[in-house]
Amino acid sequence: MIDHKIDEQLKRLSRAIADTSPEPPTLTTESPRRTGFRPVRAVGWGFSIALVIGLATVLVATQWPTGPKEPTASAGAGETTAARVGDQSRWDWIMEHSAPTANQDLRVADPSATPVPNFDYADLGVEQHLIGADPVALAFNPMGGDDTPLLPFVYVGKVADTEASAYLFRANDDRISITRSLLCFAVAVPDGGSVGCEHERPAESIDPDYIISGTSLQHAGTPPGVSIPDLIVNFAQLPLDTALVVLSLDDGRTFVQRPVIGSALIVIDDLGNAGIDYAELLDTSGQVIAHEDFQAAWEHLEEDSIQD
Amino acid sequence: MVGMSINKDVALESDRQLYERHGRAVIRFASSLVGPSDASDVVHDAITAMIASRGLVGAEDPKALMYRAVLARARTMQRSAIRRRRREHRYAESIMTADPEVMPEVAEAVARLSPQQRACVFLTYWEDMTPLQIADHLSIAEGTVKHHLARARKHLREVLDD
Repeated sequence: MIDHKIDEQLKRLSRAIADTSPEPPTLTTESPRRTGFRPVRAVGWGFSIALVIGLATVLVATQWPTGPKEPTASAGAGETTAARVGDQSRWDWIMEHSAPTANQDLRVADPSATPVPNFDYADLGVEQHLIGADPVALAFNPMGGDDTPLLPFVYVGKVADTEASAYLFRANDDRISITRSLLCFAVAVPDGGSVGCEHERPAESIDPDYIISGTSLQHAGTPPGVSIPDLIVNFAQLPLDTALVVLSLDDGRTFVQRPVIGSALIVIDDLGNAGIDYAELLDTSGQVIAHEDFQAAWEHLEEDSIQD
Repeated sequence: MVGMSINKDVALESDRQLYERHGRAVIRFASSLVGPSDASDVVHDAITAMIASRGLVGAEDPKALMYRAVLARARTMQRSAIRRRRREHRYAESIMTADPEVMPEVAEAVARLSPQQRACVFLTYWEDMTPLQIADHLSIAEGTVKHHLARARKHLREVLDD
């Protein structure tokens, strides 16, 4: 009965669309008009995203963009944070913007280093606050070894109303042929965690093409009895003028988060059959710094999962 | 040099004829993706860019080529969360104005679907295409079409259940 109603409603809706569509426009021979959209390629910033489902996966991105540095994004926000820090290494910047704790292996991120949105984003999506309360050391060795010089960890924060916490650390590990230091993003949940690493980039991001080519999706099985969120999406090396991360699912749900020291962690407990539609970074004025569509990648991920 | 100009003009005319033949269907398709208020811009930009780059003449299925160009342009337009919200609102409003029998929840739910999902819904319910035909038109896998339709229906089922 309800399927019949859906069919009937969709037919009505399709007819209404057809009835209200305008006349086809007359084509001019001029170049296409601009509609206000800023293409990603012209923006000049990159971000990387590692999507992690399951336990203890290690993701190592080996590509390093070699193109010329892009100019700093203007985006109407005046001088950006990145412009001030220049080519400073990402890790040095993270250390500068984190404070030591009584535990010498643990530092805590300074959330004030994140630009503040000066636009109303209340209706953009459900906000997931990344809070810095109660830092605790990471409870597992993410690289699996006992004597690997990974420390210190920087506690980024915990996603409010969830059990997921985020950490950053730097890996230098000859055992797995890492010749340049890796910046790793660890997610801890009560029953385990996951880690994604990629080559450490300057605090100033490099190549907008890396937004696409550097995207990595990980999909691991969930061991029986483990209670973890359906989906954890982490952003480890955001452009420093990112004021808001937007993650949209293809069922219409959208989540937003203010990053902390260039990192964000969005947790989805009830993914259901939804997939990721797109991720977007906004600067302090709400301008799009970077955008990435995930539908194709998500479908590919699902197909792999089905084959497994 | 003059000869090249003449040839280009001839080709352009043929492209325009192809566009005029399918323009009505293309603008309806664009309306299903972005709503009537943005459809003209999407069609204009997509088709003029296509004609400028490769043209429609000689394409095995010019209508499908135009559909793909329009879908790509619509997805590009999606690239602003703020603008997207406003567009979704306008989209749902225009549907409900055209047919008050369409439930507001359904119009809003469809407005929030991704452009590719909306394309699959519209081509199924307006053009009566099969998943295989939609897959050919949009150059995506048949399984993806079925996937999109299943997701859209599941989403609507949840809306209607509430």
